[in-house]
Amino acid sequence: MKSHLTPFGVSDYTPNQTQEIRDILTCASTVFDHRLYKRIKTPTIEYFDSLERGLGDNLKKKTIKFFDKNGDVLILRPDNTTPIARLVATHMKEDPLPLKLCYMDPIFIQSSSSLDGGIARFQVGVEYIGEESLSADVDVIETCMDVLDKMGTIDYGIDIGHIELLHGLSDEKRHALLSNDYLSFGAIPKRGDDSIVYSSSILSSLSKRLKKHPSASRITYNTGLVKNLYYYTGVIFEVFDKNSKKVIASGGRYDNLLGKFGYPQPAVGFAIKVDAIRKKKR
Amino acid sequence: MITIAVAKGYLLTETLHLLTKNGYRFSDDVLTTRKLFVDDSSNKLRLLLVRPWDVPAYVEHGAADLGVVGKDILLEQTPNIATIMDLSFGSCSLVIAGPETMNISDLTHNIIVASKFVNSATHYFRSRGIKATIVKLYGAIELAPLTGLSDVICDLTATGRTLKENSLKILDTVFTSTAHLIANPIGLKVHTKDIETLVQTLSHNHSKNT
Repeated sequence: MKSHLTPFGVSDYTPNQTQEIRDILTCASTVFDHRLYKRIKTPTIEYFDSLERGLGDNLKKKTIKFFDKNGDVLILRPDNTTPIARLVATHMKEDPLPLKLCYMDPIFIQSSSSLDGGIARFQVGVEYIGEESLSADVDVIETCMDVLDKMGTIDYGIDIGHIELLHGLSDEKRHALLSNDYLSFGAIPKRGDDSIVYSSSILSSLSKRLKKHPSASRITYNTGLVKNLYYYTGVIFEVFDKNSKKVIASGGRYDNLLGKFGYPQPAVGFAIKVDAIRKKKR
Repeated sequence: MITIAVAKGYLLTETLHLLTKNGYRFSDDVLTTRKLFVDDSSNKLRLLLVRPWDVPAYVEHGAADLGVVGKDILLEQTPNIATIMDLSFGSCSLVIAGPETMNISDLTHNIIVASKFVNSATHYFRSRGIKATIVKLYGAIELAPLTGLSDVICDLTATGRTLKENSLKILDTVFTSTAHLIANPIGLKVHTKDIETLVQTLSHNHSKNT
């Protein structure tokens, strides 16, 4: 090959671009330290066998796979939460709960367009494990908002929903919501202040607690917010950049994941898409 | 201001008709202008005048908040967008058509299919367990079986006239399509109120008509 191009879906970072990432990481580090989240690292390469039970069908398909010398299937880390669940269930069962952990590592998934983030996607985020009370949800959502506030320049909005708002919906309606097919769903799902989710006592209490946050006005409650039903069991949230119209962070409660690795514990977390923010800043 | 990407041609005419009926005013030369976008007189709407196959890209990546595009193109491209409304106009079908001597039972292994709708054609034959080779063409698809480039075609038809004129007959219908209103999922959040109002007026007028 004569060209010096990097493969599809990955790219070089020149000093200026690297500095943009470092600035974002510095903001995140400061907030994570302040809120007492401890940094952990999982390997870039994992056994498919070890993580498979924690991955939804969609992510399983998008995982980048190859073989080791024994013929076992290896994968590149396709998300951060699943390896962290594996790590906690293998090495941290004796540690006092709750665990407040954070990470700053890229994930790798198959991609057909660089516009959707490419193959290597830098993420920072937290996982709050072993605490099922609302305080954990509040802490995680506030931490996410703190990081974005600290960056200063982002005009973001945050939508909050809850898996219980989907109870009673038929599979067809759920599927329609998942694929943003509001024609089949029958309406554009309602969004607004906390009065639209009064039927959910959890979201009502959550809203009261979040009102104290300086960026509380950025929050909208959304009755039709669904993401990855395989993962989420409670609160779900999604942060978007109003200018670039991109999702820049998402998260929620996933109480069933750690059980799949033999250590049943409630958990809640989020991930910020560093590249989506960096591209916007330019 | 809400930005709407509209497919130039028949869908633009119908969309303008619908918007004008709902009180939006555009300059008279919208249909003939060489401009790439036009604003309404109240500066509430901006129409991007783009090619039909480009509408999903503008909406998916947030360059437009809304789009008017045929369901056929959505099924072919499966873009990551929100589907809001069936606008009912612009109806057509994607069909498998072949020489008049052919029957549906002649769609067998190693058949060669000319189509612009590569994904839809692939899906059609795969779901029937038939191994097909797709030749991608960009227009005048009817010429392919006449010249021996393909056995059959997979193409859009509204009235069936062009097929008949080229001695082709419909063997099967892959799907039917009408124009749909689509939205960028985030644009929908940023402009919730304005888009809801627009959709309400459109669906009101729409149901009165049908």
